[in-house]
Formats: sequence, C-alpha cells, structure tokens
Amino acid sequence: MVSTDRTARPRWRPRLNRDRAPGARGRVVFVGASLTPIMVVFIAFSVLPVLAVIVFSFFRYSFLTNDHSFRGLSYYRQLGADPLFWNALKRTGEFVIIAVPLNILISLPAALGLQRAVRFPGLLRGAYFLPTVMSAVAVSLLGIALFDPSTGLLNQVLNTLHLPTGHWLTDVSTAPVVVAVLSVWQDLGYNVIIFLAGLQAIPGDFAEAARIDGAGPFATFWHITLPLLKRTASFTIILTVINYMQAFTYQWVMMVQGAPDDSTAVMGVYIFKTGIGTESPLLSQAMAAAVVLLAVVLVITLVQLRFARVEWDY
Amino acid sequence: MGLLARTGAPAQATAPAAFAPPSRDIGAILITLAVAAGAVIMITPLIWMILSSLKSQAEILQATPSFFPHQPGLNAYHTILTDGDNPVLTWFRNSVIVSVAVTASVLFTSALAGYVFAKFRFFGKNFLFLMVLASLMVPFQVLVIPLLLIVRNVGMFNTLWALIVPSATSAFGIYLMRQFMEGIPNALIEAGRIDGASEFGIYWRIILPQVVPAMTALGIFTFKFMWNDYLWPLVAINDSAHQTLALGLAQYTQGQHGTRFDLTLALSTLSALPIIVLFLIFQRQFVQGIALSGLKG
Repeated sequence: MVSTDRTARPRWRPRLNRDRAPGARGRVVFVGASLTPIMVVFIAFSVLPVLAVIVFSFFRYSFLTNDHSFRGLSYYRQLGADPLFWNALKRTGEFVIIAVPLNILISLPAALGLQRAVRFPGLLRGAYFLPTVMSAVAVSLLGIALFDPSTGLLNQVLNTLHLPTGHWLTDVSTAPVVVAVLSVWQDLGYNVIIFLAGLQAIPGDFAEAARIDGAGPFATFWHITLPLLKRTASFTIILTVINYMQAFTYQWVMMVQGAPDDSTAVMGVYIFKTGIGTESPLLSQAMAAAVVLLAVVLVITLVQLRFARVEWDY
Repeated sequence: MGLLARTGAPAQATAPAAFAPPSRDIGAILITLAVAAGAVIMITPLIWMILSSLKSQAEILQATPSFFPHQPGLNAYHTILTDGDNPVLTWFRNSVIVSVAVTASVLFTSALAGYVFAKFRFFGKNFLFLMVLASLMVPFQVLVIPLLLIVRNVGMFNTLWALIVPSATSAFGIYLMRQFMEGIPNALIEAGRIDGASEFGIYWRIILPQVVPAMTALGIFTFKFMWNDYLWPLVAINDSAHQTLALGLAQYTQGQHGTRFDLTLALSTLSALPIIVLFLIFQRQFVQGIALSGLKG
C-alpha cells in the first residue's frame, strides 16, 4: 500500500515545512484546517471502533455493570463452547461457497453476452442492473411473497409446468439456497458492470490478431479474453467474497432471524443476536465473534491477493 | 491493498470496444436473445412486485392467481399511507433527511480529503491514507457494537444524528476522489497560485469543477446506500418516530401485516420508487461510478 502511494506521489512538491516560498504558509493552513476535522470524524467512527472491538473483547463489558475487569481469553473460550457460533461460521462459509460461484458464473457470461448484444444494449444493461438499486429489505419482503408456498410466483410457475412445488423458506434444506439465489439476483448487476468495464479495457488488437491467426470465438475467449480478464476477475471475486461474508439483511428479514432452525444464521446474525437484539446482551462475547470475523476476512483477503497476483500490464 | 489502488486503471482505459463490432450474423443474434432472456428473468420479480401491489388481498389469495391484476387499484397504497400505527410519511421524511445530509457531507469531505491526499505532501500522509484504505476491508458487523457504545456515550442514541454523524465521512469516497484528483494537472494549481488565489479558492473554483462526474457518481451511491441501509438503523434507533423507511418496512412485515402481501409489496414499491427514479435519470453515472471504482456502494 505504501509503495503504491509512493509511486503515485506528484512530481511537484510543495515542501510544506521547509521552504519559505510565498504561499507555503497558506498551504500548511489549508491542509491542516481541511484535513483535521475530516480525519477526526473518520478516526472516531471508522478506526476507533476497530481498535475498540479488539480491546473490549478481552474485558468484561455490559450495560448493566460498571465492572470492566480484564478477562483474558475467557470470552473466546465461551465462543468456542457455543454451538451457535460454530453454526454461524459454517453457515457463513456455506453462503459464500454457494453465492460467490453462482454470482460469477452468471455475471461473467452475462457481461460477455451484453458486450456483443446487437440490439438495445443500454436497455439490456439496465435490466441486469435495476435490482441492485433496491434495498435488501424491500427485496426480502418481495422474496417472502415470491416464495410463499400458496400464493408465491415461484410455486405458481412450477404448478403451471406440473413440477414439484416446495416450502422454500421454511425447509432447512432449501432455505440457505433460496437466500443465496435471491442475494445473487439482487447484486449480480454490480459484477456485470465491472466485468463489462474490464472487457472494454482489453485492446481490440488482441482479439483481432487471434482472429487473423484463425482462432474461433471459443478459442479467443479461452486463450485471449479470459487470461486478460484475470486481474478484473480476481479483484471482483475478492470483493464479492468480502461482501458475502457480511451477509445479514436477507438472513435477518426474509428468513426471520436466521430461521429455519438457524440454517441461515450467518455471522452477522450471530453477532446481532448475541450482542444487541436480545434481553440480556453478551457484548464482550459478540465482540469476540466480531474479531473472529475480522480475522477471517483479513486472512481470506490476503490469501486471495497472494494467489491473484498478476505480473504483466498492457 | 495495492490492488485497491490499482483498480481504477483497467476501467479508466478508453480503448475501443474489444472484438469485432456487433454484426448481424446468427451467432450475435443468438447471444442477444440469450441476454434478453436473462434480462426478462432479472426484471420479472420487480414487475410482479408492482403488479401485485395493485391487486386486492382477495385477488392475491385466489386459488388460481394471475400475473396481471384483474381490477388494478391503489387501495393498498391508500391503506399504508393512512395507517395511524405506522407513520410511513414520517419514515419517508427521516430517510430523506438522513440520506441528503450524509450525501452532502460525504461529497464535501471526500472531495476535500481526496484533493489533499492527491496533491500535497505532509507529515503522516502515508499513514493516514493507509488507514483509509485498510478500513475499506473491515465488515460493518465488526464495528457495530463499539459504534453503538460510542453513540450511546455521546447521547446520539435513537436520534437521526446517530444515523448521520458516523457516516459523515467515507473511506470509499476519499479513496475514489483521490484517484480522480491525481488526474488533474498540477499546472492548473500552479496557475491559480500565480494568479494569487487562496488555497481554498483554488480548490473550490478550479479543482471542484473538474471532478463533477466523479462526485455525481459518488453522490448517487451514497444516497442509495443510506436510503437502503438497514443494519445500523436497526441498532441505533428504537422508536417508530425516528425510523427510516427501510427499517419501518422490515418492522411492518414482522408485525400484524406479515401476511398482507398487498400491503407489504405496495410499501416495498413505494420505498424503491425514489431510487428507481434516480436510477432512470442518472443511469449513465450509476454505471460509470461502478465501472470506475470497481467497488460496491
């Protein structure tokens, strides 16, 4: 990160503190006066909470008592002994493993198709993107209605086609899949746009050269487009994984707090249920769970960055 | 993290569209048809939502319901807007206040901080920017309990301030604006200095007009995010009068109206309408914003 920043440093340097050039004082005042309040708010509400969650997870913290004694790893031990926590980790992993490939396997072909669509390209793009502007809450309510066993659209369509219908939201085996499908339906459009931008950034000469060499469309895609898209794709996958590890709203609203049988109770649901939405909140234990989530996200991101390294440029 | 700083690059390139221009051969037509079929699937649930909100509850519960309403009407909308227990218009007003205030604040702070990070050298700059980038990776669920403790301690709990102040700055916004500010030639700034303009004057009159497209995209994203946000309002607000629309909407279904699909779908439609209108007006900027940033709103 630091190295990226250094390469991006402007050649022109005001040398704020050292030179006595006219205007240098004005620059110091400008930088100080504009950045200080912004950074104070940013640190107070975006940085401090991260440090706090780590520190507080080792201390007793409760709304009911002023006893904030050091408890070492005891909240992590409680966490380890809580089957619901392990269930939350498992369900988060399950959600990511279903939803991320589903998202990529639909959004990448959709972007490839949209790039070559001969009619109404703007309208078609808009259709893929429109669900992303909806709130997850509104989509949850829509989902409850869509998947309703008797009046929902899905079962109506299946009925018409004489296919078996189901109790999609209340069946432990289908609920995690339904949540993943609806989540992917809603935010697929982001990745479609990112892939489209990545495709458009690939110089046309490459495909042209492949075509002249006699490569068919599939060979061109496999040997030219896909390798050149690796940077965009790995970036998109990393962001999608991070994003889906934070799943909460569908699991909370559509599935009603991680039901049925905690089969959709992902980490977000666990943290909220343990630390906030309960009569007797276990703040420290919920913060310990938050630290675990942070660590998992960091490790997964670093591992992915390591595998996604791309050496070339064009 | 180097990755985050790099992402602007592939998207910003304005190379001509890769591959052969759209042709009328059979392959291109089949592809278009497949993409169109996908588009229909994407859009059907939304159309079903709107059409169902125009049905009566009796029609929704029919044994053989139809896709289109037999007698479309606005009864459901009338019911939810005149419901004394659920002040939908107050929720709407709260959402507008919070979304507009945060959008204005994020635009102001992101552009200013982005400019300073892009064009000035000062002590601690790399450290501060590293902090901004690192915070992009932190899931909100990690922050939520300490944020609640902070908000309670400063007396903002259950006020709209609790929804506005913690979101007043945005790591994503600062990062995005810095990327754009770096593209502005230093000669512009030097020219302003030679003309004797103040540093703030240079920023306000010379720099800001250059980054209007980026700010439009950031503004739309921020507004959309705040309008739709659910987890933080759920934590920070605990009475009906301070709820936002998204929060009220979720509570509405969990209450006695859970099985009234005509009402919940009407309320869903109503809550999505402002953003859908915004999307139709600013579709270009929406799409450019994602393409340029590669980040999700």
